[in-house]
Amino acid sequence: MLALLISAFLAVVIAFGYALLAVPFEATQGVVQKIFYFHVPSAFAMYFFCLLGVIFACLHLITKTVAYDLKARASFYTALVFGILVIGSGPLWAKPVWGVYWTWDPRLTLTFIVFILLLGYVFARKIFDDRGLEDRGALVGSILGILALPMMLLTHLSVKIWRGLHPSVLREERGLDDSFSLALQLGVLAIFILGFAIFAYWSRILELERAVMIVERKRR
Amino acid sequence: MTGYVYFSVAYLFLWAVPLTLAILGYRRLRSLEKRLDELQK
Repeated sequence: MLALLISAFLAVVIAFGYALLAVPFEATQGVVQKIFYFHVPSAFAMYFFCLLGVIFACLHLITKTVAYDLKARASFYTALVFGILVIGSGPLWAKPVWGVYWTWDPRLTLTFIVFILLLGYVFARKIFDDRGLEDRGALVGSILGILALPMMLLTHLSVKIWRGLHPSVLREERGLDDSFSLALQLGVLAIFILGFAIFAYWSRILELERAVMIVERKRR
Repeated sequence: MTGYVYFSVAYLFLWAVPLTLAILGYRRLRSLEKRLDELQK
């Protein structure tokens, strides 16, 4: 577990340093374009952990195994963390480039809906858990998580379908310059190591909290 | 140059958020493991 944290730290230092110091400024957007190396990997991580959460939630609904529920919860919590980072980092780029922090572009709107569904998952679990209705919380949460799936697919396709403002750099025929591409790959690597660290810790924390609660109940 | 410095601080903050969460998660994990060990003794 400590090795994962050290790897995450080193990956962040390398990705951060390379993007900030080694990659040249983009010709039209300047320094602010470097947000790309954080924003895009965070969006990938949000999608990935949301998908992982849906898989674990479905496994829990089918098998009723608590371990799957704890993993689903950790996945959705991790997805929410990256959702906050995507929604937080986007406006930092949008303001100097678009002139506004936020606009109801299809991709932004759909990302916001996914974020709200993830937030809904967290609140649903908390509300039902507090009332001792864990199973109902898991069911409602899973429905919200599963609803996020088509939204994510639409988010991915929205740039092509509706031709909004949001750029789609990765799909251009010429692609990215080598140094830009390497910075993005390092960013993806660092964000995913961080994501797996957060997911692994959260899963284990939820397991341990449950174990502590059971031992304390037995002692009373 | 000022813009670059402001951006660097904001960029550092963005990366620091998930890293801090991972560190806090690790600390919480360790403290829960200790607590469980104590309870099981």
